[in-house]
Amino acid sequence: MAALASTTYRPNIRQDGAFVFHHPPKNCWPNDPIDRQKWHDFSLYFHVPFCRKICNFCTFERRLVQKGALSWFSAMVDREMDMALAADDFTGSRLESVYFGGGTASLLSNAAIAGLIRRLEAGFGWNPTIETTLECEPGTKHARDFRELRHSGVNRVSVGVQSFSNEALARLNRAHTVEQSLKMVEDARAGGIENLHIDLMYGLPGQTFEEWVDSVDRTIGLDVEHVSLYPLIVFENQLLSRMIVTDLMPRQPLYDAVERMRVYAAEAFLAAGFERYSLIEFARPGRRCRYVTATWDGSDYLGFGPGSYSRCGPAVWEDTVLHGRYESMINESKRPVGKSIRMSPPEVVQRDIAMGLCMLSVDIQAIERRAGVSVREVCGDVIDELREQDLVRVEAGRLALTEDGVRYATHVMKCFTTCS
Amino acid sequence: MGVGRGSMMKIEQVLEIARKDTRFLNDLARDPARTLDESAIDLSRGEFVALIDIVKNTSHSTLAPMLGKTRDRWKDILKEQEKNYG
Repeated sequence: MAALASTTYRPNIRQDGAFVFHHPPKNCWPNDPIDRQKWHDFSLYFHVPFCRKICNFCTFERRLVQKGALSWFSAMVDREMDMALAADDFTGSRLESVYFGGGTASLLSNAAIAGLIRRLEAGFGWNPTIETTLECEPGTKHARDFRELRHSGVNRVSVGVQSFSNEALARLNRAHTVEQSLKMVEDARAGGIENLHIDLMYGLPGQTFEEWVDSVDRTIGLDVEHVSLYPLIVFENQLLSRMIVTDLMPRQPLYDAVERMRVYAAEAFLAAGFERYSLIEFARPGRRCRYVTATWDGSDYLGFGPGSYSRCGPAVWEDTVLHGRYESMINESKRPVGKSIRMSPPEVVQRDIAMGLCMLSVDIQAIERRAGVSVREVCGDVIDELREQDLVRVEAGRLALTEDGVRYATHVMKCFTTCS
Repeated sequence: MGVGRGSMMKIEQVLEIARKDTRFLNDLARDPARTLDESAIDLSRGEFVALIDIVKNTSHSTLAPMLGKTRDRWKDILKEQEKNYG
């Protein structure tokens, strides 16, 4: 098996997988006005905030699907797209990737997905080489659906397997079984999907190393093009955390056991011919996900749907998470923004380094061009300190995580977001 | 009892938890003291009373003068539960 470089245990540094998903923190966003944006190369995200069941680890924007909810979503998003086309400048824009996520995006009908793709073809800088991903919960789409979706323009399918243990899936309150996961992979292939992705999670409550090895090995056996390996993050006070504290759920494995799981999986996927291109993503050569890359590397992305995020240059915003308010703002022809910030140049540097390191390294000059300020000026001291600690290195114009930096990535990222 | 920004953030976090967890929301609306007691959420006495004030629309907490926006948020969250998609 391909071996990763060995790492040094550092007892006083956090090594959880919380990473940095936003900077500045959302509760500090001052709700700056989002005026007319000029889009160039960008990605597009549809957030479908409905699920059949609520997973107890999930803190994304989602709620139980109700009668009429999906038709409501399609109609509202259609109007939000009209508003974006009217408000922003898409002249010369080029769409790089499209991602249907959630929630559970695969609850949308094939016709609804096809309709949204047709809207994109008509005015958002669509191009024939675009990557279009549909995130699917096992059990929600079948071979015939995938054939139709492939015909509509979906060319990448993400299967939310999470685990190959039915006991673990039940503990997480997932709505599907291992058998349905296997069937979905088979059906997607039969439906002509050539770019398949699988999500796996480790560090689950009560999960053993052997159970994780089985999930990794079975995933490799399915011969997919791309995998994400998510360490479970238990957010304080959220549902899963409360279940663990009150003994309604087994505890998570300890840090050293979780680290052993991470290393096993990384080495197994490398040995199977995958390349590691982010902290959690592994791809066959040429199969890196453009959308994943865009969300971390400082690229622009436009989100539609309640709770979706957008970024255009220094402006970052979230559509309101309240469905009633989302609807009334659209009815009043107002952009349905709930929270927003226009980042200062130092904040752009902090965000693009901290989040960009999720891709293992960042292009320093590209960040300086976006921010209009020197990286050294904003966080030179932090870089020097982290280099001394052998957590990052600078080479060929890139700031990169060392193997120890990969292990302690959350600590490294937080060093950048808290420097001033 | 603390009257700081930290307390307000904690109170807002509990409302966010309720927004995303219908069962917790229903329990909180029905019996806030018991729900918070049994929730394992670490709250100061001031935060605890302020949350009861918000849910019950009373003003016993020393934080009461600062609760205007969070009271509105709670009403929005309750209204959101009644959202009809038909």
